[in-house]
Amino acid sequence: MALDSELLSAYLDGEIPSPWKEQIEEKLTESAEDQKLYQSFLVSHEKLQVDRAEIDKGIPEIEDRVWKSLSQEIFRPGYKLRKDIWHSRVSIPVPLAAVAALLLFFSLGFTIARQTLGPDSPLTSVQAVDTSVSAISATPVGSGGLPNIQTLFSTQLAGVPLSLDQITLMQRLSQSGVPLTGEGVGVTINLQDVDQLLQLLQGASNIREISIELPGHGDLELLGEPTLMPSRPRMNGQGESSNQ
Amino acid sequence: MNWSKDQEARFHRVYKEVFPIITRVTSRITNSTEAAEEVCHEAFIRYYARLDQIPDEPQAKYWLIRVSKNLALNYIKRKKREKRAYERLLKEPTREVQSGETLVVRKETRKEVQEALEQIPEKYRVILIMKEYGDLSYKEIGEALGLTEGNVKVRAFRGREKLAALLQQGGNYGS
Repeated sequence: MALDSELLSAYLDGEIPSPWKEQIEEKLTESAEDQKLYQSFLVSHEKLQVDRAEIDKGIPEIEDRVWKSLSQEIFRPGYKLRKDIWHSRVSIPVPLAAVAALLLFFSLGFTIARQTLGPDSPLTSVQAVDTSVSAISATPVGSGGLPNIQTLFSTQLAGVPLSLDQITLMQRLSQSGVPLTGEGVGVTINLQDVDQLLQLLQGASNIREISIELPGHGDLELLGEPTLMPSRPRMNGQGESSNQ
Repeated sequence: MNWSKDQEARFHRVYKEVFPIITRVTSRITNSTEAAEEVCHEAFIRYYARLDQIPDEPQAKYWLIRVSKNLALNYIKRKKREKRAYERLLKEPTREVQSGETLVVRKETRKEVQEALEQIPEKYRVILIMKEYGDLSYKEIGEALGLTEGNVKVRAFRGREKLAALLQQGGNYGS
């Protein structure tokens, strides 16, 4: 039975220990087929050794040259080690790492929540953007209190035509009976009472920013952040309402 | 910042032991002693920067073998890219001048070995070179390259088998 050729290769590499090594040597003397294969391996091995011997001749010279170069480069006083920033270790105190991890966790959570809730969610609607409207301000023009409050809304479009969102908004306001007047690209909206104001705010989901200046004598209260609603009648009989 | 005397002594010991091994291996991978010198110089500079991270001498040996092997392979890949770019620039492949002298040189063993090795797939060639030129055991090659001993044994055999076949073809062609 012929020897395994992989075994012969390992034998040539000196990787077969006794007593298997002796058994292979014995087999080699018996089988001409094994001898032929081994011989082909041996020839290539010897050729590689010739090549290796040639390389070896130049090694002492290269070794000295590289050592001198290294000595001049790295053994001199003041040599700065080349640090690999991608594989260098950085030590961070555990509390600092914990705080960083928490911050990361919350910011990621906030981002994911915003994406999950969508543009109509309360979290995001306040930041909905209508890029064609540069600024919208609301200025009270009436001096009376509720329900006769009059508020002036003016859009400043700086020459940009109304966007589809704005047209939709205007249509909604028109349907709800809010009187609209427009001059050029500017739009003036007169509101009669708080209900109309609330209606406008509901229809203005794409407007980024609305600032409302409440009348000096308006009987209004702010309950919570975004909700604007009429105040309850005062029970203590005081005539003056508080300004918010 | 420099290392302590002990660390520098260790660096010198490792240099004396490993330099000939990696020079032989990288010379054969790159087919150039100049390139091997450059590669070995770079490998030892990198080792010097990590003297504190690799305190074990055998590990330093495996690390240096691995790094220099990778540097040598990168070198030949870069050279091949440069050659291709050069050929594109000239719009015709560069041809070796087949002078009578070159034909004589081709018959020399070193050239024959070099050409045969170049035809062997890299994964077999590197193992065979490490075995034949680095005097490394299968276990050491495995440690350096992150392979099992069995895998190294198989790759060494495959490489040797292919080399023997190629050298035999070359021998027949030459005769």
